[in-house]
Amino acid sequence: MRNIKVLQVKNTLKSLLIDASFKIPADIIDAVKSFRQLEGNTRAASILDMILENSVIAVDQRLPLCQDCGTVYVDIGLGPDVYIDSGPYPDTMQNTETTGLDYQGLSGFQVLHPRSDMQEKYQAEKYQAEKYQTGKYCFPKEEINKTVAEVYKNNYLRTSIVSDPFFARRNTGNNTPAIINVDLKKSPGLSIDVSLKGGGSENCSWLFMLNPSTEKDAIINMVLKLVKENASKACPPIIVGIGMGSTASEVLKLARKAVFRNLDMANPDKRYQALEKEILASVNKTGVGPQGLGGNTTALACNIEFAPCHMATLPFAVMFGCHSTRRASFTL
Amino acid sequence: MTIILNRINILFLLKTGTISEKIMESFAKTIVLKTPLKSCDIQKLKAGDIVSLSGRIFSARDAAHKKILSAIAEGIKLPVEIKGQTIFYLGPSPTPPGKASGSIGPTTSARMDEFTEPLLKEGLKAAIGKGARSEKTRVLFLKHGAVYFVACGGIGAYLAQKVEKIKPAAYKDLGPEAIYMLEVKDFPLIVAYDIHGGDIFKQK
Repeated sequence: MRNIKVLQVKNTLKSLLIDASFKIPADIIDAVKSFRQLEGNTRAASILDMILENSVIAVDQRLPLCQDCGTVYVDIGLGPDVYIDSGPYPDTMQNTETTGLDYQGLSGFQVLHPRSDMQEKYQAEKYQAEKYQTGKYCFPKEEINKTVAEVYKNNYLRTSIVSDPFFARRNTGNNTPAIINVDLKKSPGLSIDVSLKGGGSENCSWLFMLNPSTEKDAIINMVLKLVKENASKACPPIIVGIGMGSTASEVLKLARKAVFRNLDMANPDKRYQALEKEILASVNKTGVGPQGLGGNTTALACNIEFAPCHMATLPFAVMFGCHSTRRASFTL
Repeated sequence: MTIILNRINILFLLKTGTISEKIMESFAKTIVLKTPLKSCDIQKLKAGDIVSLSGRIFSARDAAHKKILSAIAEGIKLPVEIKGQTIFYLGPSPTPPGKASGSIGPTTSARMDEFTEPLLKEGLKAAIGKGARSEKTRVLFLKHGAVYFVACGGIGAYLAQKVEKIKPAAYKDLGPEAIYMLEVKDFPLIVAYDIHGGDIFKQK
């Protein structure tokens, strides 16, 4: 068993957040550089130069890469060997007989029946929450948010999250809550992926429930139309992230995963890999260019993430990532 | 290791001046302007021109625009005079101690489209943002003889070097969305909509 303390998660998260805010990932720099070589438009080339120069100034001057320090996504992958120790905190760990998920009512594959079991589940949750309040355990999700708040404050990063979407829209003042997802993964260890996404590119996100008989050309044309109409708002050269399959709610997550996929990582499926290449080539023929001001470098990459879906559906999601797509990962 | 190599590479290019020279070359035909912008300044600008702007400008984005508009509607005196003004659609990152400014950069202008007409009526001379705007807004700029500039987005640390001073000027409770007063020097901009009907997004 890999015993991972919440404090370890917090410390790792802290360095990942700082890394992501000030350093552009190497694969993105490489992509900008290679597109810079091929760019024929002078204005476009000078914008790509500025992007490269910005990446150096950000590190030297310790200023965030972009004034929009983004929404924080924290994706946690739990390997089969991981046990999160949310026990006494911070490091006054003593011998306790508790297990990480000491959830009496819901062990194993017990099937939940309505009413009586729901009642039991509710009781168990209440019991857990009470234990938490006594200070015996910390709540990892809350600790993650605390870390985000601390990093944004101490590093002079802009806080962009507002409390509620429609009425007050008051800035929460610490960029929380972060979007935290926990997933079970096959490989060992606890992986932490941090992604920062700006609001301008986030507004360029779409979900389509296509007819399963939709042809490839129709899909490509759809993406091209979205690029022509919207790319200039998402700080091109963009990364076109596409999610295909699964369900309406999940396909958007796939699209986000696609945006943040390392540009050096090729799609393992050759058919989708070819489709990615075809879409990228046509996007770069639109002439939108860096910042939408003309040129051949409209997108640095097109990534597709796919999953099985219902026979009646073809969920299709598109998300743009800006050229300053910031991410960092580590596995404990 | 790749990261380190990349950084050394760029640092080398910068130290030898290669990158900056290239950027400067492409800015050879830069038009130097000072705020407040005069009508004769704006007259000569054409879509695609590169402008180096110096002087005082104000920031405002979604929330501040909403407040300004309701103040105009209610006839309350505005915290900042709009007449002849240049507004930058911007929410800066906080200024670290010992630095002139935090990271600076444009936000998507299209979101400000619905707020633009009342400001143009008040005498707004120029707006700075990123991305194309609605056709209706482009015509409004034309009608009021105002110019729309774009700044390069996503290069906040680079643009921060062009800011000499920044401080909140109004609606401080809005945090990053407050109105900030900026003193900029040689701030790089590109003319997107000129007052002769030119549109950079349609040039290509």
